Amino acid sequence: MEAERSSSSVHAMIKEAAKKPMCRDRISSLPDSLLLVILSMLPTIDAVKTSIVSKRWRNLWTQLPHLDLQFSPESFTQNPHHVRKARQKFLEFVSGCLILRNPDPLQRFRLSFNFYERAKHSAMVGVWFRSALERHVKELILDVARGGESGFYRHRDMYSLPTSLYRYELLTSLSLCYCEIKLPTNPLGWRLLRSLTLSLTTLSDDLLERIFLECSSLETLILKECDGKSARTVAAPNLKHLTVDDLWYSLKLSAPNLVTLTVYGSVSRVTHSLKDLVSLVRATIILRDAGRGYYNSMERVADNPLHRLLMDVHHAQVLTWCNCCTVLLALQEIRRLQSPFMRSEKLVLKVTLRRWENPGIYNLLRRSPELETLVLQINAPGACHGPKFNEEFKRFSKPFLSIYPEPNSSELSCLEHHLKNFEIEDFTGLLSDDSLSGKRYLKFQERVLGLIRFILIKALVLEKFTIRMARMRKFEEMSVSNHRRLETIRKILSFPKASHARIAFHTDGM
Amino acid sequence: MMSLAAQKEKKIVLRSSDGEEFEVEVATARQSKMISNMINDGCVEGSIPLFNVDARTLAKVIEYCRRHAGATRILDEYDNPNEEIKSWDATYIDVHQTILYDILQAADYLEIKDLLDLACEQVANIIRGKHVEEIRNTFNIKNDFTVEEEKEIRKQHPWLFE
Repeated sequence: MEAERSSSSVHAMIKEAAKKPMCRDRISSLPDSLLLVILSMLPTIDAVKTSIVSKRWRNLWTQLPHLDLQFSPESFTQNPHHVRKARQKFLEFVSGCLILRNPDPLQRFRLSFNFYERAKHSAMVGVWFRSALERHVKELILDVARGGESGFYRHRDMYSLPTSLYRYELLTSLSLCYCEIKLPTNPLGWRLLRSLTLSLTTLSDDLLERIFLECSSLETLILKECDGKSARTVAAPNLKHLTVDDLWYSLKLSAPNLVTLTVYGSVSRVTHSLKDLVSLVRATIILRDAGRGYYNSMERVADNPLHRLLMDVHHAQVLTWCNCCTVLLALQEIRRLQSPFMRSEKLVLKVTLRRWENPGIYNLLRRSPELETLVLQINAPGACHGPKFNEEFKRFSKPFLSIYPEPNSSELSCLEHHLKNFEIEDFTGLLSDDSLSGKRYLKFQERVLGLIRFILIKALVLEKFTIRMARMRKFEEMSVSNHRRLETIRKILSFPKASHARIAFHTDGM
Repeated sequence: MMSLAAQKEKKIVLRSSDGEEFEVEVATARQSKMISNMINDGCVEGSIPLFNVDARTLAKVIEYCRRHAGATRILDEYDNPNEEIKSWDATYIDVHQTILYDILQAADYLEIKDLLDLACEQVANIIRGKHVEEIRNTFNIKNDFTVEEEKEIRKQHPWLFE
């Protein structure tokens, strides 16, 4: 007892010593190269601040290859009411930075600020741009909507890019937010451009067509919250990676070299048409809940925009789909609609595992004969689970669910020949949660365990089954929930298995 | 090039600056580009002396390499960003400043890029958003500017002062 106490007091002493401030200035003795790595990870304002701590730090920041100029009021004033003053200081800061930084080439220039006085600020940005271009900048990021309301923007406030930028030939990466893009009649200079991000701007067929035609190195395109009208399919022969995030624009592309496709947004606006995706490897579709009008169109289960999008990408090897997709497939399954086979080797499904989703999962299993890895993420971020969503789908599926039979395992050939990894990620702790009490919890647990049991019994070549449980939210909940958790784990371990699969439980990493 | 199985079995001995020896798996040692190059050149007979890394730091660095040597394989197999390793990294690097610099310098010397980035990011996070005086206090940096010099700096960076 005595020995124990003394060892713990030694421990406490060590801890205490570690808390004390250092008596030596170790950081200043690091070589320039390492200090520059550290400073390059900070916004420029923080890097510039270090120049006044001591002589050692005086000119370090001027050698940084990046200028990262983002406005945040708290960096420029301690009084939250002095935002106007802070903005003025920021403008002085940017101008000062460009004067004080050495004239060496600049790798990246990033400016993020809401130009509320367009006329005055446009001229300033023009000067800053010129200064960045003179330093042979390669990556340019301009966001002039920061602090403004996204989505409800007024076009007259958009920043017009200086014409010199269209001719500039050294850019490899360009990101523009809230900028008006008016391509000149002369050809674009962006031959080296590999990555382009456009947010809060207006798109058109002509604009995209010229970009794909004239930017011959362009591999990555990210379109975010843009609007506009499209009429025809545009050829994007070299594009490899495309991310489409909440567009008010129906993208129509032919992209034979596309490898990765990611689609975010509202279910009601996924009216994109992506053709000739013969190289597609990964397709991620994560959608938000939509308004009532959409659910009515879901009744046409084989002819709605989401169905068409799923058909465009269904041959990808790795599919990550949210529950909007599984629900649609569930509706097709229970109505016995024929759908084509898929080539997916890995499926990641964000699900809520409500009753009417199960047929969707079986539908996917049946249609993916080569599936090797199945990941079910329960209530993951990105899954729709609003009450309206639930209600609407219940309404559609109810008349059919009662006559839906359990799937015949002989139809699920992936379980017999290919499925090696099966993972369940339980994001909200539903598998062992106490807040869902009584009947609802039991029903949910029964459904999840039923699915697990089904797969364990039928999967002949399964090698690994992993369950990642959500971390406990409150300490005091732990003992009760741990009881439920152990009970759940015990049940799962008792399930008969057709394979020699290892079972792994994880509770961290969420 | 050795086969993977042979690599797993073979061990390498690293000797710290204060003379302590650590036996590590080849895959772990290969996380260091410097040691990896030495292995490729066939000069790892006996133990490898590391003059710039003491035993306490080396133990900590090996802990990182061992975790990441295992993680690379998991990553290759499943091909997705590993959340588990990220949270492990965050806990690993949450150490006192003195150890942090030791790790940082060792990672630089041994050429372990991911560890160097992790340690630098941690130092950057300490600096982020702090006022000048706070930075001086946190890192024990002495203000060695003369009054004239300080005046000049204030003229150059008026936006940094209220």
